[in-house]
Amino acid sequence: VALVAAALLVAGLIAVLSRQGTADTQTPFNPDAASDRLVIGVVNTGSPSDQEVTRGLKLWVNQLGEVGGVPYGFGQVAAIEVDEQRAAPTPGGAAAAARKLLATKRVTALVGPTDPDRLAAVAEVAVKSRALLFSARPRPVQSRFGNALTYVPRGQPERLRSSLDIVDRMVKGKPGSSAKGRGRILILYKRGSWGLRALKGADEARKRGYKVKSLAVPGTSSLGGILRSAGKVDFTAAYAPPRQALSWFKAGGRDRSPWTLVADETTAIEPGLGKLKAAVEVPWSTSQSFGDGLFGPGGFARAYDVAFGGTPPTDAVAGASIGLIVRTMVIVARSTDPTRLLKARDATPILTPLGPIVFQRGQPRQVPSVVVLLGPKSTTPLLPNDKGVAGLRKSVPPKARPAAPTPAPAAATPAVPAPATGTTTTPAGR
Amino acid sequence: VTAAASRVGQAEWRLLVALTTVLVVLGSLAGLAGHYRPVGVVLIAVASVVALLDLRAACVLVALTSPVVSLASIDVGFHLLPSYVILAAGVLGVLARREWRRIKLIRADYLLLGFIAVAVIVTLATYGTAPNTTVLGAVGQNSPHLRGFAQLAAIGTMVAVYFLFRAGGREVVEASVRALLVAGGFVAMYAVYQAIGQQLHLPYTYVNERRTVAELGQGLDYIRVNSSLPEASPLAQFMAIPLFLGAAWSLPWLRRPGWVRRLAAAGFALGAMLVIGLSLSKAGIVAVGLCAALLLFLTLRRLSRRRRLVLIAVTCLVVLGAGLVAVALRGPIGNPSNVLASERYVRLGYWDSAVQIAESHPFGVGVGNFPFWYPLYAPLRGGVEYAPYVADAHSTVLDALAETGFLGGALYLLFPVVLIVLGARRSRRVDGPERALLAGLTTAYAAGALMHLTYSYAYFPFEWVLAGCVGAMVATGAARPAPSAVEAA
Repeated sequence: VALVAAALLVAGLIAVLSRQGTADTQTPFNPDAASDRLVIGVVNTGSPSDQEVTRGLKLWVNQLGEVGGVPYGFGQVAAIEVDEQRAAPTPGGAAAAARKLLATKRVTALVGPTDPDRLAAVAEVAVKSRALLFSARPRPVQSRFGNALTYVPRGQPERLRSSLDIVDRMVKGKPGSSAKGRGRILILYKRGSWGLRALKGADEARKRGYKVKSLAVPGTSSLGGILRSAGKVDFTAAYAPPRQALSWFKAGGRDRSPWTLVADETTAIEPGLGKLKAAVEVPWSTSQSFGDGLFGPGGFARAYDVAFGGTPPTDAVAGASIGLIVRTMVIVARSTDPTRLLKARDATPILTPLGPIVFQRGQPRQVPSVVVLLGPKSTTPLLPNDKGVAGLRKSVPPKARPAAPTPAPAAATPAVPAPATGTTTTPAGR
Repeated sequence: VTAAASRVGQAEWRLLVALTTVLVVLGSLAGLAGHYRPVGVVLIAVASVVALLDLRAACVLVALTSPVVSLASIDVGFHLLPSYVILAAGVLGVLARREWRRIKLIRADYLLLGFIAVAVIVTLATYGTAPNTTVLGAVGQNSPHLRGFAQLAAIGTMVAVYFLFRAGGREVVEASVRALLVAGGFVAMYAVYQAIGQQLHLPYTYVNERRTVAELGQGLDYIRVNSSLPEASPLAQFMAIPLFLGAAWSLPWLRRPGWVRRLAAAGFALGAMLVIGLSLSKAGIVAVGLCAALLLFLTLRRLSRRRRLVLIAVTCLVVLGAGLVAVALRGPIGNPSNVLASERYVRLGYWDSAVQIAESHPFGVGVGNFPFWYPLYAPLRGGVEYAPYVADAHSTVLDALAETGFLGGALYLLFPVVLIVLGARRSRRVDGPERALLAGLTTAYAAGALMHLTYSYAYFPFEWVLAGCVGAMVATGAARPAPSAVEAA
């Protein structure tokens, strides 16, 4: 009796432990719809941001159709399609649209609205239906939806990473500079949300060993006094709405050391530049090449101009990046199985026009921005090398040259992976 | 039946041979005329009745059908049908006559029973937990709600083969060995046909040729001439039986049974070696090299230090030579990395996945559930194969590890190890023809176990026939039955 009881006890223990071992595994996603054909359903609530995300994604998918699809595994090809569903601009409307896409179109992945409340409503539906979800929100959401939500960032230039990469090269070897005391950085900002972004930029500069002076600028008239009081600096960054930042640059900044306007995109700055050239740190540049070879340098901007007119805003780039991310996931996973796609997403850096993105359970880790030299009808990416150093100086007129430090000798690997080609191109847009 | 007929007289034996020959000829003619189904069913039915009535006949029939399990087309049903029906009849007979009481359990049996218990518990406990992956599209016995039980049934059937022979005991071993040698002749003919047929583009040539039904041409039924041997390694694994038995009987310092001449023994060994070479199985060639040393070790009663060193040195040379031959057969000899790289590409991803599954689920995911978990754990790196439709870990031990956890995996690994050790010990203690027989069987089983480290499916009945024979000889001792009328003749 004791032997039988012990055997039953052991058997029960094994049964419970094995059941628990399989039950606590994260539930994978529904692969039923995914067999060499991935349908991405877009919930479009009609907001400008949603419109642009949809435009960008459709543009990318059309281009993919031209080359026949995504090759993967043993000679298989996955077709990627987009199905758009218009939704009322409410959380309930967005959720209803998501349900409709899942029920009638058999979509594998959803692209949620950029509005946080509507996105949350769509996420609830996606989690329940075990569908993948992408979001092109400007800011990450608190991910209570776990692994399913892939947040595609629109870039974070406020961290001032790329500009500082170039400045690092400029001050390197300069007398008196060391790892802990590299030089002086002046950060000008407008109070409010721009001030918060400036704070992050200052943190980054301090981390790199610069002495940072952050000053709020009440108006263009007071700029002269502020600049005089700041004294001699190695680099200046301006955090303000595009027009205001541009007016500061024109008012006094261009006579000083290299500086960067921090902006979400170049569109609003370019028309006001006239014949001037200014360095702008932006999430992406129109001349950047997509990592998948579908669009060459500047190709996406040209295609967007042909299809919709004008320069693509960052939302459209984020939309196209969703397609690009899905494509990379399929290639790396060698499968269209959604669970495996998520595994692939978190396993490798994905090169997008927004920079190489590394995901961790759907949340992107460091997202680099790019610095471009914006001129009349031209945008040149400034890579952190000698060419970039020289390019940044071009934003400062020659008469102010003595203020600029001596450029550093060449070489050394850039701290941030180069996100773009080095060619200068003229976008077809403005 | 002719192979089993060690108890009948000379006249009856001749009659049986004549009857069998007539049946085979009639069956072949009917088969050529396209009546596979009725002929197959009639033959299986007749064999099953015989198996039901006599345990020795059941063992011999199972041994005979163990490699050649698909003489009927798939229209008849499951390709293992003949073996399974005959086995079921044999087991029923054993139960009805209470012959199972004759089984004297040995240590290996406890390990096998323990593994089966763990496999059943884990499979039942994890029922319904197969993850939602692309493999869910599988249907029939491979669908997620059936696969676990289907695989469990297959393993259970193989364990039944093992215990059928254990119930038969030492008495059935010799007859079964003769049956295996007869079957080996058919397999050798099949292998030679494969080798020549592939060169001449003849039909039904499958070994190392993966073909789909669509490739067979119109009006051609899909008949797998030998569906347990559609690939090179199982074919080579089976041919290890005549190889090592023939080698053991050819050794001058060992005695062989009266019914085997030395010339015939040498013929078995050389023929089997030729077939293994023709199969191009790398695992087979390497395993044969290693196990040749084991055979020598088992047959030499006293091994001095010098002899042991010589044996190790010769083994190393043989394995090196076997490796070079294996490389030469599959690619340019000057570039062995290509062969290794291809093997690495094919197998490493599955092995890696199995280990990952076991690490995440130390108590197993249920028998047959490896393919459902595989897409979640398969490596993403491009240097290894990813094929979600492949249903196994390319290693039986790793299959057991992933599906039944560390406990099940350990029990499954220890079963052949302990059985080989027991067989080896026993063979070094006995004398006479018993020694050569047990050494040959143990070595052949060891070669198969070694080969199974690189491919899956423990559902080849012949390896369980072999295990049952070794187990029976270990359990029942060295007493040799009195020579029969046939042997005397």
